Amino acid sequence: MQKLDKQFIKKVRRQDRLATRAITCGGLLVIASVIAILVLIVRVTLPLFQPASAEIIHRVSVGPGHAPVLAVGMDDTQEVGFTLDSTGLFSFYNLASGKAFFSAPASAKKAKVQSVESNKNNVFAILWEDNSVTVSQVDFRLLYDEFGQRTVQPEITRMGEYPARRYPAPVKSMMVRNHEGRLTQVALLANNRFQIDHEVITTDIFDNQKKETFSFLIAEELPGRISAFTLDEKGATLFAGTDTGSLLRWDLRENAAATRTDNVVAVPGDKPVTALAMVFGDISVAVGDAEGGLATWSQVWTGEGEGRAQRLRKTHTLASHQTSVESIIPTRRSKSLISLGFDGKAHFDHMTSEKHLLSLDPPLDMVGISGQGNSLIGLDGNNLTVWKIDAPHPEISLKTLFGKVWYESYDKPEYVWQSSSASDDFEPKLSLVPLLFGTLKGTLYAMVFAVPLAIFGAVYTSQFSPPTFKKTIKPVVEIMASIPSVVIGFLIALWLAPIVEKAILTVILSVLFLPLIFVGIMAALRPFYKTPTLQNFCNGHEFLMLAPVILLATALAMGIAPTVEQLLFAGNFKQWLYNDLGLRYDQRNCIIIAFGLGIAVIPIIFSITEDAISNIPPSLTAASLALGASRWQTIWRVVLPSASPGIFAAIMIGFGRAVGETMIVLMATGNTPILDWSIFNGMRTLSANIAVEIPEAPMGGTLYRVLFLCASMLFALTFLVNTGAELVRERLRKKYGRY
Amino acid sequence: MNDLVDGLRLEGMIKINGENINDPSLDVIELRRKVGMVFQKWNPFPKSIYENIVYGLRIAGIQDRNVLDEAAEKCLKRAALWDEVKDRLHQAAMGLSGGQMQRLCIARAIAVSPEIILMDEPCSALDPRSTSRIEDLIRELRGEYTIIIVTHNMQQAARISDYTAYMYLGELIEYGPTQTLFTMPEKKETEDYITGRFG
Amino acid sequence: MTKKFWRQGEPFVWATGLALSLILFLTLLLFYVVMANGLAVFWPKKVALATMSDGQHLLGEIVQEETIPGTANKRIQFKIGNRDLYGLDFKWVDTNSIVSLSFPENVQVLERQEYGNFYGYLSELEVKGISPPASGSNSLAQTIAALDSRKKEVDLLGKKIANLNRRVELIDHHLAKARYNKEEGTPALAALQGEKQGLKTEFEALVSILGKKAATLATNQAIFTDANGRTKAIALPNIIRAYQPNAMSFFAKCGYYLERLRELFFDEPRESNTEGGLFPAIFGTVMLIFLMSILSFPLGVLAGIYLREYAKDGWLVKMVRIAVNNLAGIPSIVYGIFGLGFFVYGIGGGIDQLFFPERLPTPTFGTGGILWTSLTLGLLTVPVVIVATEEALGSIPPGIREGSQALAATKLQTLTRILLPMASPGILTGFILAMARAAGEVAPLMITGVVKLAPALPLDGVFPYLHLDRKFMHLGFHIYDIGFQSPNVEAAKPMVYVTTLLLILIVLAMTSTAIHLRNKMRQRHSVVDV
Repeated sequence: MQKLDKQFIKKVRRQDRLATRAITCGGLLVIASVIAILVLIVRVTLPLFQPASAEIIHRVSVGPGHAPVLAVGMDDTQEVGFTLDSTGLFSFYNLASGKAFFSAPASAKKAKVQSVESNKNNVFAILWEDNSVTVSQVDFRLLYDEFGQRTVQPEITRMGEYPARRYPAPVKSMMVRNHEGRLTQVALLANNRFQIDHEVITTDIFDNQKKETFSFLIAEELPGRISAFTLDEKGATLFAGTDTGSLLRWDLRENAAATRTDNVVAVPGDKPVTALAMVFGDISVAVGDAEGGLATWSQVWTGEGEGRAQRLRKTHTLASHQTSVESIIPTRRSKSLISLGFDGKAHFDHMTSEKHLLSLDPPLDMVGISGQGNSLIGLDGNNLTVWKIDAPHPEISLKTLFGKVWYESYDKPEYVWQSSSASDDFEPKLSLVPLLFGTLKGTLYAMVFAVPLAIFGAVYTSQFSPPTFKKTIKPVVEIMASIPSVVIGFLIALWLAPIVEKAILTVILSVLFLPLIFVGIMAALRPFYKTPTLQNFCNGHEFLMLAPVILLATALAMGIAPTVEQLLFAGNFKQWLYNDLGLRYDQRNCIIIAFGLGIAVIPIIFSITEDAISNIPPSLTAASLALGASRWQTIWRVVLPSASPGIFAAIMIGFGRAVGETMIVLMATGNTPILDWSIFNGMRTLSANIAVEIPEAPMGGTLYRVLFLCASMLFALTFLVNTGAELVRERLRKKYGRY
Repeated sequence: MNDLVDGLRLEGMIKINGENINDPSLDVIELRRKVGMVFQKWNPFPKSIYENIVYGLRIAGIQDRNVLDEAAEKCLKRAALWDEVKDRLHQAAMGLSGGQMQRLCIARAIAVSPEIILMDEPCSALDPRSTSRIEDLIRELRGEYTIIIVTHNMQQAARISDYTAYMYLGELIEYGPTQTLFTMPEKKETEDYITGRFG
Repeated sequence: MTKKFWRQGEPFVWATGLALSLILFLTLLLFYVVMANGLAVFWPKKVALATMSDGQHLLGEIVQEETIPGTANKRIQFKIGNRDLYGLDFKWVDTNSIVSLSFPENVQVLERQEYGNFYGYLSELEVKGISPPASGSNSLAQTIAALDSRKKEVDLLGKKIANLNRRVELIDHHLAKARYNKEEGTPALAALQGEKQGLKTEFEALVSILGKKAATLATNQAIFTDANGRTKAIALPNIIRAYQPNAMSFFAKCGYYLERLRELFFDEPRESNTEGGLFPAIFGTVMLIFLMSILSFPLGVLAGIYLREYAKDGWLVKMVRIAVNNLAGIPSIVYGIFGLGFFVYGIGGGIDQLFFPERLPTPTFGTGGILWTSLTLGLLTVPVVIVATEEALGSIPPGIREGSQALAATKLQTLTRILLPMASPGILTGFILAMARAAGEVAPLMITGVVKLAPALPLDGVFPYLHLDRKFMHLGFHIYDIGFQSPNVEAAKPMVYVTTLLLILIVLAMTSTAIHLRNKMRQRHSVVDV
């Protein structure tokens, strides 16, 4: 035995141990972190489905001996709460310390309040017993001292004081001023009539302001006693509910008169409507009834032709109360509602998703909400309780993501994706169905184009072409696979799409002609196919000989397309499509997409299929040929069945790639999220949707999380498809003992 | 090295100079220094002939060029390969013929001066000519090293070995001097096997 | 016999052949379109003078000719340029209304800093400060060349000002940090403020010098007339290049072509990326691939080695292997959105909170940047590298490992001395293919840090030289952006084709290298297999 350097051996061993440890750790770490992707993406989407929660953050006693409280409210910072009592006094409480630190009367006069209505956050129309009205707004100002310490300073702005009208004492009164300056006051009189007063200020060309007042009574016969009414923020619509369950709607846009536009039964069984409120956005009205039912109604186009008109329809039913609904308070940031039952239970619901977010248990006499809708104040007896509400994504439920939803201003429940719009009171429409549909549609058309071509091409390459050709064709296909998708997208969208648009008929015709001409040539060849010269010449070169067929078909189609268009389609195929079939032709349509995605997936399907077929042991084919089968029979009966799992895997992997392809669809689909199978228009896919919307989505917002949900769906879809394919391939590899 | 094989079950004991080689506390590297191995399928590294020979020395930390050169020449000569390859020491080992590659593997094994060389059917994939050369080589080397050879070829076993052990399905059936075992086996199974009634 | 012909399925064989030729036809068509359009962009086209039946003239390059749909008449599309005069770059003209077409030699084509090309005739040169040019056919080009040094001077000034700006910005950052840490009033801060003041005065001085120089330079102008005799004065510094395509010889055209290529590779883009060079985009692409490789190559190889050589073969490893195989097929946009959520907002936001709180809410790392993009792309390519490493190691016969271990080599020695050298071509091939894929990938970049126009390169002469937080430009995104987001798509098309060609060439070069490598490796391996 040779002398060995002990030191060296030691060093080598140490290195080996170290390396083993390092490689193991590193390897595990890399793998774990790569797999963590899914976990992280899913984690971002999870809050979408988290239930809302409320936490009591303050409890303040207003003390006994207090005049009856008529309304409560609070500020956004959750520091100050206030009450409005029946003497018209606003009292402000520091919620943390529980001390009342400021109070101010709504009006200078000493009178008793008869009723208070609020149609905007912290704006109160106070109807005094003497029949006059005061409109006051509570504001909170944030003041910072020199140390950066914040204090909240309440302020009461008197927006208007209106003297008593001449008419009989009203029961309830509401008042709004629209952005043109028209002031509308609606008063419900004791005799079940509405008194409407408009005060319009007009300015003539000499800048002289003129104040005009219009005053009239809605005197028509009503189906019952008015039990609740509400007015929208513009003073343009008046909703009223009766004790017989009817919901009435008047149009108040005219200055001199009101037109009743609707009279529907909102509560079956003659049960009274007990509460009404406009949902944020002023399109839907929330209706609460004596049975505890809570629903939203909005105007919907119904009927056909002449009879087509807008009618009130129930669009959403929300979770019911056990007892009658006493009041409904809409939030001012979203389509959420807070409703208070007679038993003092408060419900927090979202209209679009019909999700019941929260129930607040202690029996409450009244509730108020902060401007941002993130906290709630309730009065029970002599206590003010403040909840912090955590409901970040109330508009998302499985139903809004995957089901039909009746959105405001839509005629019927539909699947719609429309994530944003210019206005704040927009109702986000986040149905993933059009996106899934678009993804499948694009992918399917692409597969219809790509699969036969790729598989046939692969069969030819592996079985019929001479080995030298095989060696050139494989790299060519690989190079095709490496073409960046942005390049394909650009070419098909800016080069191909205009050409196809101009010559759509030529394209359709050449697709028809190609098989026809092919069959024709086959028929012509038939008598000669045994000729040795032809066989020698053709064997393995069929595909070269057929290249002219493609050109021929295209040329022929080009030649006769104008004539066909003249004869059959009155000179304009696209017009004909639209008029006779009702199909709109988009420049960026599924033909283009099928072509683009096809080019992207053909190489993938081709190479995997080719591998699968080449891995079939030659002995199998040889045995079949030896039994006298023709080369096609061998392929059809022996090779393809054996390779079918591999071909299946190829199709699956191609499918996975097409589903996730982003740039091609982004550039060449037009990105309209529509549900339409027509091959002549576009779609929007999940992947393109992410690319389009993510720059607009603020981090942590609903849209952001929904986009992550799109990504996790894509991930899950491709992962499943790929795993399936991988398992199939694994089995095939084992079967034929090749790696 | 058995760990590289799936589904392995270990029973019994192998001792070299009184040391159980399956003892987990034993340093396998140390063991592999003592026991060289030649495989059924020759497995030269895709390196030059020279690098193949000195690989074992290099990984043991020997850098000295002279030592390496000397060892390479000595081992190739011992493996009776020197004359055939001395002009192309630095060409790829993959270019040699099967028999030459197997002899290269033997040369590679003796380069680290083991005490024992374990040969696992070293000739089963070779033609008769190459086989006889390897057998000559084994006969030559047995003076210097303990050679354990596994074979299915009875004639080969009879030709080149001093002692023979007959194993069947993992059981040691009989062990004795080759002469004795082949002429008058003690066990019935052994007799069946060597007379060709079985196997 | 007829029946036999169909039954034996000979036509199906031909049908498969047809499928293959269709595939090849499509591939060739694709390349042809890119090549034909991309290569021709820089070749000077003749400028035609069309005399119309109403006596008007029209000067421009003929772009295409087509039959008017529904009629037998033809029409020609001209690129008439002169956007500042006519508003539109392109015009369709009915061939019937053209009386004659000619190609006058004295037509000048100007490439300008703004408003695109100008087609017209030179009528007068108003030059000050340099010796009057020799009159002649290329007096304009000579004058422009003579002004070149002064133009460069102005450019240099501009660069100096930009540098100053950046230094001021840096000081501002320091100041903000000091203010945040409530260190106001310290001498260091005062020094900084002083420095900023100094820089500001310097800045203002430079700006006024620049203004004066640019103004004097701009007084050098040339008067041109368009096809109908309208005159237009154009300041010479605004002209980037002037040439007379109808008078150019073949070699002159070649020279022009080369000059444009030089511009393409080394200059900055102009006119919202539709003209000029691609240097920042090329640089961004290369740097991105480089950064990505640094990350994904070692990690991928490490994980591959672990999976093949160290991990105990069990169901877990099998699952991991399938998972990793799959990750290579996950859509890139998913990686992109992960990069945004995890790297940009997660880690980037964290870094901002920790190290740059004084700049908040303006994000430093908490917004897209080249670091996050390359991390995302790295993640995207890691599975590919893992798979390639595993397969390369897996294709080494086990006998080799046994042989090495029988000679008392440790695992590490076997790995470094035998296995890795043997597997390296395979690993490299997989890696190059992964890089090629990454080079053409756009979707994940769009949401993690690529921009239309980056104000500065991620690598420059300002401390700390490598600015990983900066956004960057990229060839692939460039295609998407100018092809789909630019206001004047028709005018941008030539540039898109050029970019496309360039990107395809880069990717093709990488892919062919990889294929070549693999073929070489296969040859070598076939010997091992004997």
